Amino acid sequence: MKFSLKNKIIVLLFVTTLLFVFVIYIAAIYSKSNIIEIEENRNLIRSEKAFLNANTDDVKMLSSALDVFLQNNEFKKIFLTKDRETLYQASLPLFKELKEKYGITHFYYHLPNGTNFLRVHDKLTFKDTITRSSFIEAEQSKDIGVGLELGKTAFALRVVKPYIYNGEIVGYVEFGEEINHFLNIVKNQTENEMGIMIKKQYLSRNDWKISREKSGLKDNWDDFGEYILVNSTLNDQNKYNQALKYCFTDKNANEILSLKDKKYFNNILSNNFNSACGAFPVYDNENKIVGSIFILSDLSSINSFYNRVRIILFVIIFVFAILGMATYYFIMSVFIIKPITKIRNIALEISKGNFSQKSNIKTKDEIGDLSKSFDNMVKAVKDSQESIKTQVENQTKEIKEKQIFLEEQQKAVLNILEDVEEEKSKTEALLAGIGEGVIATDINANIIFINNVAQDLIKWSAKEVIGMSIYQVLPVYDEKEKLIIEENRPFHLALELNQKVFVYPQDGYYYSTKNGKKFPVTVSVTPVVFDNKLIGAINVFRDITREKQIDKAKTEFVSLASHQLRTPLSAIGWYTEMLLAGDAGKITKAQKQYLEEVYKSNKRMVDLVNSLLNVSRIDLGTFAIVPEIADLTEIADSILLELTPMIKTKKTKIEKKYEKDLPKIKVDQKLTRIIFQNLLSNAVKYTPEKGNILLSIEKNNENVLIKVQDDGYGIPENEHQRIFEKLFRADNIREKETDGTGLGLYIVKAILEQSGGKIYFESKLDKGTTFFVEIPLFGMKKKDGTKDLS
Amino acid sequence: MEEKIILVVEDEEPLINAIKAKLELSGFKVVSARSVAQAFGYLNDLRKVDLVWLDHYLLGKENGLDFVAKVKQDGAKFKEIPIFVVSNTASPDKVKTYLHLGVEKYYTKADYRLDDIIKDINNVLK
Repeated sequence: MKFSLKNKIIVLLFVTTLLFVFVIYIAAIYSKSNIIEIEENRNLIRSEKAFLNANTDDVKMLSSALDVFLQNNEFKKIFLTKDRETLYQASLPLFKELKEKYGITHFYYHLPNGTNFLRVHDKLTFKDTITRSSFIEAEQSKDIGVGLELGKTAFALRVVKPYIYNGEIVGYVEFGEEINHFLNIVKNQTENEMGIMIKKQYLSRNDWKISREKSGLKDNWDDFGEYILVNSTLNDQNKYNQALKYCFTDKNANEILSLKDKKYFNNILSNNFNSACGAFPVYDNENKIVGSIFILSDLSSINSFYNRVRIILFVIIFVFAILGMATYYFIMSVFIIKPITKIRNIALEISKGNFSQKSNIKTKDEIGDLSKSFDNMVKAVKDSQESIKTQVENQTKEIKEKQIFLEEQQKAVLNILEDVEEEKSKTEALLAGIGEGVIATDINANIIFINNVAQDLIKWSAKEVIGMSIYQVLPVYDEKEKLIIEENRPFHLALELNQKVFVYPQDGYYYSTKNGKKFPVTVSVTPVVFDNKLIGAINVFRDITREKQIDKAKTEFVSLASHQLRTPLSAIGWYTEMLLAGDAGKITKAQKQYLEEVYKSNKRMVDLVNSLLNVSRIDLGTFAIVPEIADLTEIADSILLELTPMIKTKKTKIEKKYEKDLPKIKVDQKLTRIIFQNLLSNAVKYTPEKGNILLSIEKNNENVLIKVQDDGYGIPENEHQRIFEKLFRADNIREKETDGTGLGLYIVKAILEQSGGKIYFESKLDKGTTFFVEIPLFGMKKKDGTKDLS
Repeated sequence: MEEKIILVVEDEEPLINAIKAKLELSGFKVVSARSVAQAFGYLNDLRKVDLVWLDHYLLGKENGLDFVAKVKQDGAKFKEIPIFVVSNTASPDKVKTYLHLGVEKYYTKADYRLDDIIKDINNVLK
């Protein structure tokens, strides 16, 4: 359904009307209950008045009947004889007459002390003491006493007057009538029912029944719980049973009997039984409430009247509401919906592109303003549409250009992607083609890549090992071919320390193939860091079985060569020695000089061969370090002794500074000799004649510090870095001293580094050089090896 | 004083000659052998050799170590003869083996003068 303005207004009006009708209806119901309550009140008050009037009338009637009787002296005389039977016989006809005429039902003679002498209406009951308030009133006032009172058998209106003879009260006479008499009067006047409820505890069922029978009355005992309904005007008691039960529950009874002000029927109980009840209490002579007189008012006729009124009212309101709604809609339609519809239709036309129409509504209200604004807007839209058209044409052109540009870009990106793909393939080919085994793992050491060489070497295929732990795939063994535990393997160390770990040939590590065949390897493990995070490691390794073989061959060759070289050198040395010693006859001075040159050169040759052997052993890592307890000063002294000829020749001054109590430490004596020999001979060699050399040995923290200081040629600053290189000789001494191999410091540094020591120096050109050597106090590190240095 | 006899076991002729010359100049009687078998021949024939000058590499299959092992074995007749090993083969295990077997001295040929070695011989034979 389309919610047009018209529909919305109709719905709104409908809802408003419904709401209006509903409110009126609720108000009607509320006012009805109020009206009924007022009506009830009025009704009850009317009953109350009727009751009081009837009461007064009957009191007058009983009083005057009593007056007439009291003036009759005949009865008085009989009374004074106290002959009960005679009195009864005399009184009975009168009682019947009074009953007939006035409805009097009770006729008593009382003695002055209140003892009942005779009940004419019940001759067998007497001698009981009368304590009713009507009697007490008569006794005290010596005149009339009136009461609406409960007796033993009935609830009755009673009038008592003194019986006076010769000015003396000789007794009392009481006339009474059952209350029904005036209850019926009230009913006739007001159409309300009345009745009397007496609390059970004040009545005896048996007495009641007997006395009612004696009096020829109906047994009117009706049980309502705590109360007994003793008299009522009810013909159809069932009609009011529910109402009575409701009024005389304990709670409600107390409420209607409460005596805040003593008006009759003050308290009214409305209920849902189409009736209302009110009551006033009945007292005994001790002023105790013994029961109540109640009124029942029938509300059914009032209710039905108001129901009719309600329906009529509803219909009238409804009709007026519909009429109002229609009028309202008509006004809305003419003044609002119609002009709006007109504007809408024009807007529809505009949406189809027709800008020629105008709404032209000239009313002087908001609609008129709307129309005017609308027409202005139409004009503005027309103008802007034209300008937009131009803009769109321009932009379409631009977009087309951009599209072409984007297409070109796309082409370029595709080209780049192709290049990248090619680059990737190249990289993969490169990796696969590397001549060494390459295995890459993630951070958990699980293999993610293995190249062809590695697969060939370890005899595992990529398919088998990808995803497996490298520790499982690749066991590592030490030089004794014992399995190395995971934590000590190069791969584990690299990942743990996040630094490169190398395994050199001399470390003697072995890998094993899938079949358990071991082969020697060199390894480098490089942690892979990406974006500052360790993501894995690359294990590059090489099978060095062949290198090991070559190494062995080389070692053997060196050994052989040393033997072969040294033998002729020995021969030269020894023969020259003998010639110089004159073993072959006396030699001339010039011969001696030449022979000495031969001997010296030969000695240099021997030294050179020794140095070369040492270097080759260092390079192969095959030299051994065997630390033994030794006295460093003794070694130093013996070297100095060996150097004495050279020192003497150069007139060098040697100063020794040995710390007292220098501890003996564990060093390899041969290697220590090489250290001292090189440093001291260098100092002498590279210091001009008459130079000074200071050798000091001292304890320094956890090291023994050896210091060799000279005031010689020094080392040019730009060559400081290269001084420990193999075969390097500084520029400034190469011309001054031809006698040098460039191997000494290289050997010394290698020895110290491998044994846990340290060497460094300070030097200034033409000022001198100081070399510092540190050997740990706990001694040199032991190293197994196959060769000695010499 | 009786002349001391030194047995020089060395394969290189030029070296034998030099050693021999120098030892004789120093007052020793010298016999020389170039193989282990030859050396044992001298030992048995001469019955009295005061000192053996021994090289490692020798002619024939056996080397200096084999010689020392035989000489120094338990109950051998020549056990007491001091042996000076003068060789250019300086591998530490070999030196160790020689010294372990009970040779007197070990010299690297190229590093020592004949004079020095003979001085030591004199000291030993004193």
